[in-house]
Amino acid sequence: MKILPSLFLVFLFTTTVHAQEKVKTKYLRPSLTRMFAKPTSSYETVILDKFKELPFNNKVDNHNVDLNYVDYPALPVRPSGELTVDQYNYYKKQLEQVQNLRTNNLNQQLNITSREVMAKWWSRDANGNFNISLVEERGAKTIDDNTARVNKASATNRIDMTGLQLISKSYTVFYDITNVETMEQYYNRRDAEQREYARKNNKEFKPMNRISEGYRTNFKVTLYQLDFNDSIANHFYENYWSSAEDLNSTNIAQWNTATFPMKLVMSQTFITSSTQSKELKYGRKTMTQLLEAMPQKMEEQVMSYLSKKIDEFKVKAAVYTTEPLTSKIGTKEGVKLDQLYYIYEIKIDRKGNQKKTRKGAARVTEVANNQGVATGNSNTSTLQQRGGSKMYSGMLLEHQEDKGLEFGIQYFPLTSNRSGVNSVHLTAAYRLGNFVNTHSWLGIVGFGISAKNDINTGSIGYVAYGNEDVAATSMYALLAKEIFFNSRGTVYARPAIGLGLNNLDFSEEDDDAISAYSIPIETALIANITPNVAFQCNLATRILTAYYTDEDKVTQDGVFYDSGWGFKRVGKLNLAAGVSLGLTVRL
Amino acid sequence: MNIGLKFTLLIFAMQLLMVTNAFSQKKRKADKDTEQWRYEIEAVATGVQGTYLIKVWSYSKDPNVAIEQAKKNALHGIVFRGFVGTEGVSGKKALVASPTAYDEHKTFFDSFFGKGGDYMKFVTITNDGAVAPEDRLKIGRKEYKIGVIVSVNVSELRKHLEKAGIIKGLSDGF
Repeated sequence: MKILPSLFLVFLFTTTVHAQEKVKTKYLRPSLTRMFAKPTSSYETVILDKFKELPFNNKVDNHNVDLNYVDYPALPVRPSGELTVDQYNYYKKQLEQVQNLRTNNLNQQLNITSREVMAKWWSRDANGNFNISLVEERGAKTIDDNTARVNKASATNRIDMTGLQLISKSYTVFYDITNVETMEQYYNRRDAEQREYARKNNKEFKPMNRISEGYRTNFKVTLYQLDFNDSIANHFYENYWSSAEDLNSTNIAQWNTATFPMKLVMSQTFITSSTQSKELKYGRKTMTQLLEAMPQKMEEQVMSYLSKKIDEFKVKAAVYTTEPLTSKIGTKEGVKLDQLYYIYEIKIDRKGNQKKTRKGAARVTEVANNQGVATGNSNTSTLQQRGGSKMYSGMLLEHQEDKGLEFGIQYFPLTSNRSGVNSVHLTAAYRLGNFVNTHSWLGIVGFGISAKNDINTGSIGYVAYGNEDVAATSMYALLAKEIFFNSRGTVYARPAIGLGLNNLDFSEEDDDAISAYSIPIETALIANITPNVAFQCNLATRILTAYYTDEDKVTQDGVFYDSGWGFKRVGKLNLAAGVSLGLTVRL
Repeated sequence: MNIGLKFTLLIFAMQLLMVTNAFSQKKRKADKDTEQWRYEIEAVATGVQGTYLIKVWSYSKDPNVAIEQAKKNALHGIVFRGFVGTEGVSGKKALVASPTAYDEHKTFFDSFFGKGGDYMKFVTITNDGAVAPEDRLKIGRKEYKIGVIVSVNVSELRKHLEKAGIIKGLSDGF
């Protein structure tokens, strides 16, 4: 194909390394190939069989090829206890032999994989001829609107150029499952370890709480990247290229021994579990179903890790408009509601080096369906800014993996009733967008406490009389929604409602404690200081039922004292309100 | 009209004047930069028949002003400066050979590059005004360098300049 040499020439230019540092601003869709170590147990066989059907994450291209498992024997375990010199040397020799075998087998398989990956890119047919159809297809899928518009005004095809760049974004992920155990096996192992530890250290042994059933796996992932630089590209064209229009039988014959370098990118161990509570009544899965769910969880964990650590797996795009904040990304890039993006401005210093400076953060509130080829008029996804500077079109938007967790501490200097709204609250919130297709909703659990010695309680049933030491605690769960007033989102409101349980304890003895149910209704005003830290002012109210002992409603006799703790109405429906100041930290 | 209302209207008018003036100042600075050739042009790709596809880098404290100025800078560069080629894309010489041509034909060029001038007929921004992140760079504390890809209809521009007697036609030597 005559067009190919000129395409390669243009490609060589675009991959030239510039001396000055530049910020990466383009998201070129990586492609992924899966490779596995040979299974050594029936559990592993089930997991690897299920992996074959597992679809790839939306933001990468499926580049799976037909591969054998890698013969990757387990490393010998060092015998426990003191070893003699001979025993130690024997162990070391065994270890070295197995390590060498693993390395050789893995390298052999990587050579085969590199050839198969290239064959797939260039759509090698049964006659050994290549064509650029997949390169064109993937290039077309990857280009953004800007490139599509420039392409229309250009006499050369920029889509093919983009496709060529994608070849160097080919990654092979090698899964080595080191251990799969049931939860019972896991609990037995941990109990044995804890029992031995307790015996050696003369401590009390506490067995594990066996609440879950299912499976747990340890696995290691090693990531390799196909090195398709200019000299490799030249080598491929000169020594292996053949096409229906330009047949080269020598090159076709040479293909069987072709190998292409694969760079080691990273290696990481993971622990994943697929479990359910033993008490679960509805939606209960079988043990087989739990095991078959493992590959999905493993790959989600790996993709989340890669998105955090490897720049090329982070979705990047330009801010398109600012009122509202939009960007031309969507389902094609795996964008989901409530995902977090940081917004950067690129600065250039006197030497011409570029550096990015964070200017704000935003979460996705609307996802565009942008599947298909960009035409220059793609739909946009909408985001809500959450504090930071004024945004401008052209700023860099970059996806950030986050856990969706927030932890808060609040102090209530003002409260009408310290048993209703306690003095100090600790909260943990989780973004519900991680579970359901929604944005700006959170589930919050909280714990409050107030305590004071020597308070006049009046006469409360048989549990309190006169001056008592009082401890009031509460536990509650809330459903909260974030509401923004403007596009910049520096300050926003978060109303919440839920259910709770309040306790009053008048002494150290348990049977003097009384409880009431509560309906917490709160509105927080939150000011973002940074994407991870916010200042919070909260108006909290509680509707409390009458307090109860284990059996009876509490009654009050004689003289009534409120003491700022609501003791006057412990036997009746009560209201409490308070205002807090606090801090929230986001992970 | 009571005195309070008059005072409010006066303050409002003064503020409007200040805002308009601030924007005009940035625009005048951008025009001065163009005259002093403070912009850069780089080849992007071979344009479709009769056009050049180039990226123009303009400077301003306001990125929006830089985007606006890109069209003018593109035409100014094509006419007086030319640009260097890149791999796969050939460079082009300036349409007007003489470096003193602007002064020699000052009346024409002041009108051509003036507000609402004819230069706008020959240039279009290809990316709909949407700037890519790599084309929006902050230099120093306040200034921005903005890259905009434009398509210049060189064949029509050449005809326009020939008709105005600024450049000789290709067949004028015969």
